[in-house]
Amino acid sequence: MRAVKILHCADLHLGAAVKSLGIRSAKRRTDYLKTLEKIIEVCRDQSVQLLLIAGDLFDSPWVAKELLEDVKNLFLLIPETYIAITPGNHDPYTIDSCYAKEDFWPKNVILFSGEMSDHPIPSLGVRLWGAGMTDSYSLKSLFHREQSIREAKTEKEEIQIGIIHGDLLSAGGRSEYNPIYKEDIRDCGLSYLALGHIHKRSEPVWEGSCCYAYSGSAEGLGFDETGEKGVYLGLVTADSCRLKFLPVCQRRFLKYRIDVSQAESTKQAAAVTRRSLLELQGEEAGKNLYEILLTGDTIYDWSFDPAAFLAEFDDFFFIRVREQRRILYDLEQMAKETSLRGIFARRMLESKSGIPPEQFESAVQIGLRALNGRVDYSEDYET
Amino acid sequence: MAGWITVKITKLEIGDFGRFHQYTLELSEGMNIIYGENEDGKTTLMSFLRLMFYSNQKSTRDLTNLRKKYLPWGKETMNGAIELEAEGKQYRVQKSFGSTAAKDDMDIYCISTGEKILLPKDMEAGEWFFHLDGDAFERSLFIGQPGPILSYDGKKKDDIAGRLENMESSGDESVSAEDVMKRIQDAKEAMVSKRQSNGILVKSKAKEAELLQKIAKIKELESLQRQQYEEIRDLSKDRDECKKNKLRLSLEMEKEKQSVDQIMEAQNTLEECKRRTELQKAQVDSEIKLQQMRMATEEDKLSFLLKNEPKAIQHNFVVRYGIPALFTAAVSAAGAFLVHPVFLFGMIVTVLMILLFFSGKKAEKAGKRNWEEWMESKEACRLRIQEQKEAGNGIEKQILLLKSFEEIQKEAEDDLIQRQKEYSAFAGLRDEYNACMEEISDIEQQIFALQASLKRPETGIEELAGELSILREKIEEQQLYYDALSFAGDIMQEAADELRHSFSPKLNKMTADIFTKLTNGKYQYLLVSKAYDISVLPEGVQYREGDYFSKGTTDQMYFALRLAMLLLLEEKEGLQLPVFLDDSFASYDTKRCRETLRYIKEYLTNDRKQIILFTCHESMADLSEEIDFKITKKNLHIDKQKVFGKMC
Repeated sequence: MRAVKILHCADLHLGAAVKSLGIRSAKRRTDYLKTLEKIIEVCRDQSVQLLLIAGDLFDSPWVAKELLEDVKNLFLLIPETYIAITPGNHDPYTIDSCYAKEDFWPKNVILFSGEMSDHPIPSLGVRLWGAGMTDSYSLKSLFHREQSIREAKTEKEEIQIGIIHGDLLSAGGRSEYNPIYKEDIRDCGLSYLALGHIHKRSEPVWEGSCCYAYSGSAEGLGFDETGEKGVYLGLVTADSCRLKFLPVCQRRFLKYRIDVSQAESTKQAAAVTRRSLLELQGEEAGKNLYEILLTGDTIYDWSFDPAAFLAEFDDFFFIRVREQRRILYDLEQMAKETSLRGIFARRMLESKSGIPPEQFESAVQIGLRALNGRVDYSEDYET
Repeated sequence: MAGWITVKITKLEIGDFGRFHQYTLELSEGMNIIYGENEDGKTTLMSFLRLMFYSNQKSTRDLTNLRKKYLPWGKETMNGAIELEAEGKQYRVQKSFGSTAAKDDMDIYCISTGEKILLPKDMEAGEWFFHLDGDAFERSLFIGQPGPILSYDGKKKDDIAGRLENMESSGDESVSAEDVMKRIQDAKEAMVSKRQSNGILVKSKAKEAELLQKIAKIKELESLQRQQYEEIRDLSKDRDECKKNKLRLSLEMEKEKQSVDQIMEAQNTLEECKRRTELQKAQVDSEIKLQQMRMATEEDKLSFLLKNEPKAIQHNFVVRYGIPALFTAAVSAAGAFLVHPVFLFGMIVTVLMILLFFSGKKAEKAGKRNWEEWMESKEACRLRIQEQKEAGNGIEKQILLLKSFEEIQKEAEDDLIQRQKEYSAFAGLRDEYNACMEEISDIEQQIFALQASLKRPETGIEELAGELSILREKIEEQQLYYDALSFAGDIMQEAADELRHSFSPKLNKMTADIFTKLTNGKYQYLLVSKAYDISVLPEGVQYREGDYFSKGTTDQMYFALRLAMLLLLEEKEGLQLPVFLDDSFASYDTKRCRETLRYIKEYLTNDRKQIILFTCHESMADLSEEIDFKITKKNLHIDKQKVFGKMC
């Protein structure tokens, strides 16, 4: 049984302008190309025969000359590997896109454009099926029903592999970004369908006889893409598919809540945080990007100094921190006091039923803080 | 009470003060009722007490200069002493008054230990003993004139009120309700500034609007772009059409060129033909001429020849001369041989004959030759004539050839005409072609311009949409926070108002308590405002202010308030102070007096509190007895007589 070794990745968004990381934005921008380098390295070291890039390789169809050259040179490093690219909604195959450049892309690069078409690779015993977006949106599905694949299927032993960038939906769903319907995948004749567009990877599953998966973005693009990011690497045959997830990202976006109830100062809170992060992420914790929420109960005898906190993390790549400690209180007990606090507590209790619980809790916390000291909006502070 | 500092005044010794001279008043713990009619000196005693403990008169309430007022008639100085018990020790305060506070001379001794007490600079005795300044002392210990307490205008916070207030507001004396409110207000303004021009929430909303605008612009841009792409596509189609046309035209141009070539060719051919024909014609002509000429020549020749047939010298020279020669020769020879050599002369004849033979032969030969030549010539002529005739045939051929050439020429001419006709069909082709080229170049320029003008949005919509949704979440959060701030602020304001309005719940409670007891449960609900106004709830729902009630009731209210203030302060400071009541019950009827006394008995003197009541109600003492209230009686009136007696 013939098998082909593939690497499936997508949504690298090379050239994306990273702006929301303050002074780290510039450095972060370089990570994405590094990840592509890593992918190419893996291809070389693992003798990958077919590299599938399922869309949004670039963040826009118009790519800076240097970046384009860099990518081309990377592709040239693995001349033995076939590189299949389907343009996505961020880098569609328009008249003036980088994909339309004549005599530019190396021989081992296979570009798809428009509706599903096939590209046989006899030396691998593979028939590639790909569709490429030609605009930044596509209300119509570019994925074809099985007839065309079945019809074209020549040899039984030929491995049918699909690659497409779009939104996987159930019947009746709508999408502006090339809807792909599950019903169409089932029995479509493909052994594996490499998907791109959704940045969160999905486990390879079977719909009928076709295995499909989103590889997810290979390098996170924001705090809504936390955790490990990478590619799928494995073997595909005419009727089976064995893929493993391989992390390749340079850094991870991570969000944590850290309880600083035991801390008695900002510095201690920072120490607690550092310990936790090292525990959670190991020695290399410092290279990641963190969004930290400091929680815990307090009698509010120290107020949070964001600058001091962040100063303890100069060796970390990026930290965004917000303090949201809760002042401990017992309203009923407080209401017995005859002080301003007592009257406040009593009146709050009296009005409790009239407002949503979230607002109530928030208002109590505000009141308590005001009685003790400054009231500051809990904001994000960044390195 | 354990742990509390208890102060009791045991003795008033007046050296000279007002109308008092060498007057001693001893006081005990519990209730002391000092009876005195108006002008008996109650107020004087109160003033004495005041001045003894507080040299400085900073009260704005009482504009009277006590010193001046009480300078004893006819005396220069005032002086006196007070003995009191504090913290279980006996003290004596001696003072002689000067014209101003600075000139007062005071000594304090602790009788129990024999020490002289030295007060810190500028500290009054009263401050040391009671922890109160002069005004507080007046307000609390001296529950003097009845009626509402006037509050200060805020320049200097009323000591009692301030301390009570601070104590009650937050448990921390340094924080006031105002501060708390300000913090909340500041936080609110940080979110939305006063004029709504700034603030975290305001900025976020502005950013939202900005993003929405950006997104709208990009959408516009994208649709414009799509339009442009469409246009480019259409133009490209047109251009391709034009190119097809151009191709067709080029082919036509080719054809035209070919046509031109063909014309050239035809022309050449025609030229060729013409030339050939002409040549041929010339040739034919010349050949004909030649032939004719030759023919004529030959015919002439022939006729000449025929006319000049040479005679053939047909002598048989052999017979004529040869044989004879031979014979002769033979004869001669023979003769020469046989006969005489003269016969050799016959040789001469022979030779002659031979010569003749040979010449004849020669001539025959020549003649033959001539004749042969003539024959030859004739033959040749004939031949030539024949030839010429044949040549004539050849010429016929040539003529035919010429004809064919002429035909061909004609054809060539026709062909040329045809070609020229064909060529004319290409008239305007060049213009058409040029026009087409221009159109193509025009379209391509348009395409180029469009491509150059393709506006590329800096950010994709998806990214902005992502930003927008994150921002909206933030805004929601900030809005919630702002609402919570507003809510907390409102509640806090209400609380502060309540606090202010009721001054302090404790005071309120205590005042209400006292008043209820004073009125024997008649009135139970009472509110004290910051301005120390009291309103009471009679039957019904509405609180009523002072003037609603009778003077007696109102007096009782304020008595309750003053008493409450004192008691609260004592509680806070851990002090037990004596209470001086200066005719507080002047307006009371008997019933009220009795009630008040009962109150004092039941609630105040339990803790051995010292109460000194100046009254002009004679019956007070009796009323006390009635309710079984053990009191200490003093009669100023009698004493005064004594005093005046002395003075007089």
